[in-house]
Amino acid sequence: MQLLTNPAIIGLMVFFGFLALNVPVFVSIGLAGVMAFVVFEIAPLSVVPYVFSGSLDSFPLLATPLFIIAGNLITRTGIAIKLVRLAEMMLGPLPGGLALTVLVTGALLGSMSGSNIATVAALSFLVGPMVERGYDRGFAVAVVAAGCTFGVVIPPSIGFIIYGVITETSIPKLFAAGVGPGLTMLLILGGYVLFISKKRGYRGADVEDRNLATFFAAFKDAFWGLMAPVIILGGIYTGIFTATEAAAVAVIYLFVIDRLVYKQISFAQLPDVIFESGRTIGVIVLLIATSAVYGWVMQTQGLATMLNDYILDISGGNSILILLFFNLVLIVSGAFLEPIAAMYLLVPLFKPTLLAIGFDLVHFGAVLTVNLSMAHLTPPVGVGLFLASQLGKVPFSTAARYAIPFVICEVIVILLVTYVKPISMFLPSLIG
Amino acid sequence: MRYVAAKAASWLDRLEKFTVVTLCGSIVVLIFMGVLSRFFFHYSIAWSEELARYMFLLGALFGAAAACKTGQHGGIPLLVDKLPPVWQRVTEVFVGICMLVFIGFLAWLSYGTTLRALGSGQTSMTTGIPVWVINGGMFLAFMLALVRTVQGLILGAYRVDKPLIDEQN
Repeated sequence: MQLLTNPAIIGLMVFFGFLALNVPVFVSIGLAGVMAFVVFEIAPLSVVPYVFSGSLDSFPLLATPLFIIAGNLITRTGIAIKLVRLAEMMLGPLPGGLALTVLVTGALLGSMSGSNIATVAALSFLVGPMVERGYDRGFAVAVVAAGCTFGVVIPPSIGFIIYGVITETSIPKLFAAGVGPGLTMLLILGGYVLFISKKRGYRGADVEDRNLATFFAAFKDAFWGLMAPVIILGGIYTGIFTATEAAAVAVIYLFVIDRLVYKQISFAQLPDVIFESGRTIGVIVLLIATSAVYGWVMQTQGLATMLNDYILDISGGNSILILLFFNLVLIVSGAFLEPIAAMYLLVPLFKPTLLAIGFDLVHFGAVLTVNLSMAHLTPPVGVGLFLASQLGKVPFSTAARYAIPFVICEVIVILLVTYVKPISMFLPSLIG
Repeated sequence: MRYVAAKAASWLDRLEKFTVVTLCGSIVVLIFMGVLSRFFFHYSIAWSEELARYMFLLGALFGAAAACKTGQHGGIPLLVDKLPPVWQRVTEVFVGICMLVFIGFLAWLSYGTTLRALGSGQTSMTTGIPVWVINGGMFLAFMLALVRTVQGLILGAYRVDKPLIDEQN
């Protein structure tokens, strides 16, 4: 009963009420937070602007806009096409070769930019060739959407940056924790694609002149693009620069190699790329700031403590059950909420329990990021799947049906990452 | 009258784009400059980080205002999709009112913080920029977001049957 009269819980109901009526997420969450100040008078209204702008006043968070700009540059440089060619050289002739190409290119693009929606746009041109080789269009679209989920998990990743800012954990360690889960995702999703392609007889791609010389030519074409993750991650782990600085270096590097090698973006087009990125940054920033205001309400109203006591009591402190429960909550929230909003709302709630059961916050960062990467695939709101279905000209419901096996594969990855610690924690343990 | 309105809208578009591009582009330049200076001259530019944070805050809020016009701040049309068209129009009006109320509230709050900062004469730690300039910038961004929301509502950016793909572009 005490729980039902808690302003934070009432705020949560208000939030879902507004969401149901299609009110933008930042307005829904913002109104829910402000209501606690106005109706329940939990604190003076003058607190709101300080929490709002305070949530954005962070140097690590600055990496977010920079990686968004880098992501938008990548889609325009034509690097994606070079990577597709390289991946096709390696995997093309296998059954489902083009679908495997999409997954590998998605993972490579994910290692260059911090976001993933851009990847959908960059890879959707492969839907047509896949259909020509006898793939079901719905399957082709689902593969493109699945290819974009790597962007959140494989470093650099905006998801890890925001998680690091919320939990005050090391962003380089979080980035390292994403590598193992990312590769596991690639193996499991790739395995499924290979299996189903053999079963349904999806032909491999007809790669002409596939020999060592053409492979090296393709590698040479893609080389400067492939150097981007080497510079970004190499710079971070050798201590030359921070994650935020790495993001700025990535933007400059991508633009320079485009001007010198790929020649797709002129100086005159650069403002358009930055403006487009600016709008995306704006959308994310309002989500962060309004979620922070509501998060402040949750914290001051003791919701995390209450939830922690309740969960520990009901589970008897069994960490396997608790983690299963957290993953379920994340999957359901991810299906309805923006991953960033879900992170801001849920991580502060989970944190006391995670600390109580002694679960490493970096490890949980990997679990959470893999889990929320799936949010781009899961209906009703899977933005990646929605965009892929529109670009691939398939009804969303058809794409969603074909996406189900990919979602099941990702659930397996989530369970593996949660319960097999070395998958994510081996690399961070080397950093010390 | 219509000509004047179109002219003003196009002028506003250009001013908005210039502001967002300058602010967001400056973040890249400032952070990159910091790296170069430390790497080559072993000298850390203390003010570049603070300035970049302010550029981020303002660039993002002006970017958010631009996104209000294109309806990029997405909602979840899952339930509203199932409603008859008449009720869909009603929810669109409701969405518009909620957006205007909330953004208006943010504008009002930032107006208050701007006046307070102006009164106190507070300046930032490293760069010495008057705090009212930053708060005033936030106020302007929210006022622009109000205008952009109205434009977006008129242009149909918040229609339930509007495909997502248009919002992305």
